[in-house]
Amino acid sequence: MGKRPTVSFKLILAFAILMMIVSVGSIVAMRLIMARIGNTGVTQSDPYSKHYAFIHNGTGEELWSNLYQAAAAKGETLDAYVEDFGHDLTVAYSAPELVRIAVDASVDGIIVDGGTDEEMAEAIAYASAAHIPVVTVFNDCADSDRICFVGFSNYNIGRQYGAEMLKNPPEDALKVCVVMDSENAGGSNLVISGIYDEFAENGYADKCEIEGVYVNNETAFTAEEDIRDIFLNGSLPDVMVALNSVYTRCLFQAAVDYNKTVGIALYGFDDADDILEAVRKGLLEVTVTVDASQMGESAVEALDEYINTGYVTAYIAQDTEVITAAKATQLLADETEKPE
Amino acid sequence: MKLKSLNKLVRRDNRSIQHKLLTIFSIALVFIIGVNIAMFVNISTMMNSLERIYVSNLNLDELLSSLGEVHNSMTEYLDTKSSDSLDRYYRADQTFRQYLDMLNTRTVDDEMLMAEKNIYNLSQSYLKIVEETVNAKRGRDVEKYSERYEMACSQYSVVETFIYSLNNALFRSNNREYNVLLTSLKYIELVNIAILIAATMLDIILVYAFTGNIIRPLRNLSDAAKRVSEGDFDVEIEQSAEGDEIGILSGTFAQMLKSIKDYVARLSESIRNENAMKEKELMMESRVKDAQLKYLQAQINPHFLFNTLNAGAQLAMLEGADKTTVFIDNMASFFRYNIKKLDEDTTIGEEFSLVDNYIYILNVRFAGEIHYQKSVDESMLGVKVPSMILQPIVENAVNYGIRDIDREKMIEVSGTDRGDHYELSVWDNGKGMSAERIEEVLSGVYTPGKSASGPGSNGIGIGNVCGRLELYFGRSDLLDIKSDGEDSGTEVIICIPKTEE
Repeated sequence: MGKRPTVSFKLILAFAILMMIVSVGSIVAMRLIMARIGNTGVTQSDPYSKHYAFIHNGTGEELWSNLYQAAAAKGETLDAYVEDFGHDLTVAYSAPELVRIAVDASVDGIIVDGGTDEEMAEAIAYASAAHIPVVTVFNDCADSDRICFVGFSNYNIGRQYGAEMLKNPPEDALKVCVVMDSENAGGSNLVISGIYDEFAENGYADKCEIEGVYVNNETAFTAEEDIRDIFLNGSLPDVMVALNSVYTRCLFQAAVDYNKTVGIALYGFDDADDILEAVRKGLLEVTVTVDASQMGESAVEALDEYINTGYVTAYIAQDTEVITAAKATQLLADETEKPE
Repeated sequence: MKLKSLNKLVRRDNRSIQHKLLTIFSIALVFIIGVNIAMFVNISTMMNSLERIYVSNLNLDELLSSLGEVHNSMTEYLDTKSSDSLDRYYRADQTFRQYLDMLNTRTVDDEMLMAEKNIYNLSQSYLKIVEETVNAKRGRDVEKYSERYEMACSQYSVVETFIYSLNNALFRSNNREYNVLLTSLKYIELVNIAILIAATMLDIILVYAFTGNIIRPLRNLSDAAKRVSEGDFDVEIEQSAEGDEIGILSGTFAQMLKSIKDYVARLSESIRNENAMKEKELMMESRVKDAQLKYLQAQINPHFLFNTLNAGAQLAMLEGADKTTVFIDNMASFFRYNIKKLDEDTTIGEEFSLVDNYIYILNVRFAGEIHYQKSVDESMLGVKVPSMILQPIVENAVNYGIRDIDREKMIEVSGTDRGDHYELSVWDNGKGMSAERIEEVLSGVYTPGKSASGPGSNGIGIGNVCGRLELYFGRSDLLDIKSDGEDSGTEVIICIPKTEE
């Protein structure tokens, strides 16, 4: 007869431990899931001492997205929460309206994409009356109570565009068309001036025929239709200049759609990936961009400085950069090599 | 300490099977119940979470409803300036403020909570405008309350938009949570099923292993019992370390098996000893007989006796003593027969010759006072019989029958063919025998031959004759004694069965 084996204590212990691990593990897993779900609406982070509203109408644009991200990141370092104010509302308020609402919401400071219209100036005045400082960014609202403008010089950008156009000196008069924003005509005019002055200083004043074409961006989708109308109506200019990313996309897409990529030089704005790709492919001659991160950080710093000291410089200039096909290729390659 | 306790619980030897089974199934039950409780807790938590998911939306709906109540009551008051509408406004204002107090007012890194903060501040702004509007109405400042009412409406729209927007955002978030929960629920369901299956399987293994430990010794014991029943007493019973009933049974069985083996061994030893004793006894008896024989032989050397008797006979013949010669011849014949035929078969004729010799010698001794008659069928003279069966009977008849009587002493011997057997008869007219004595002699209780052995006796009594006849022919009723009592003589009848030889 064989030796009678006994159920060892180890077997019992292993069984008990396994069952306990499985049971406790399932409960812990469940608790983690619950905690993960429960935390979606509640934060345990420390409160900030300041609340800034960041207001713009460029929702969805990469430039504004980058600008806001940089401003929010900078705000964290300065104990300030920067809110993308009004971006998720069910009603599309205008920037001036959002400024007023932000004032009623008792924010501590406002960063807004300015403009030359009167309504914005009134909204800024409303904020100023409530002792809420307003910093304009990208586009200025010069005739207002804003405490500071953080942006670039449209005139200088015009000079940069002009310099790029003159890299191949025209033999005949060059027809240049600048697509102008109806809400920011002032800034666009400065660009036109810059281009003309660049031509003039280089002895090509008589070979520069510049005109501005207004597109309506007050109602949805009209800007794109207006740009296509340029291609459909009358003779096309030799050069077309777009002053924001939306107009830039509309321009090269229309040129492709109407098979006008040859014989017309397009100059764009912004450094979004699709725009860089268009530059690399030669659909755009060049594109001009600003350092969005630097701009966003500077806006928050200006606001914070004003709140802390009561003073801030009225204009903080930002650098712009011309991106050629070679540079676009390099930037895209760098983008690809970035780790996910 | 807990580990030791559990170990003891599992290994304790002196617990009964009932107790062990109870422990095993209790442990198994506790595990299963534990797993079920864990699953129940998970599902319960999940259900609670499901219930809580849309609570935030409901709260915002109530906030929005309360806001509408404020605005409507204000509008109604502006329309009617009624006390009821004013009262309703105040109550709605209070309720709305209570709801607002539940909103976040801190600046934190969370879009939802920041939306709550905006709603809170916008609502406070709105309530301030509404309050100014109502006060202007009460002061009948038409221009002011009209202006404030427009502002209130605008602000109401903004607050409403913010609440709607937050509600939408919450709804999207809650939907995500709901989907996550649903996915988790399916996952938990699978996990629970897996846990249950695993627990059940492990439980079965545990119970199987435990009960196997209990059943295995029984099976071993059963196998051992079967082998023992087949005669194999060399089975080794595994001694269980457990103190349960099976352990006791195993021990008892092993003890019983040992007892049986010991008993069998003792029995075998006893049989061996008994056989040895019998063998020894037989050898002793044989040696005693041999000694007796040698003793007798030492006493009377037959050859010396015959030579002596023959020398005596020749001397008597030389001297012309014929009677002496005959006497010595008869004596020589008598003793030669005694020595020669003792362990051999003989014939009825030789037996009768021996009786003749014997009677002759006696008559010489006792001066011919014994009247001897003999009648025998010639046909039966050659029948083989054991030696020395007739002479001892005659000797008894002389010694106990006729020796002491005063009248004429008569002895008649006869041999008759009775058809199916031969009959030898020795009759005397002596003292006779009582029926009791006859019975005693035939049953062997009384042996006259032995008690009366002495000079002139060859030492062979009736019992001896009877025994040898029984051994020779395989029957016990071959000798009979008849007598009519005192002084009526005695007849001893020997029955010789006829055999095919």
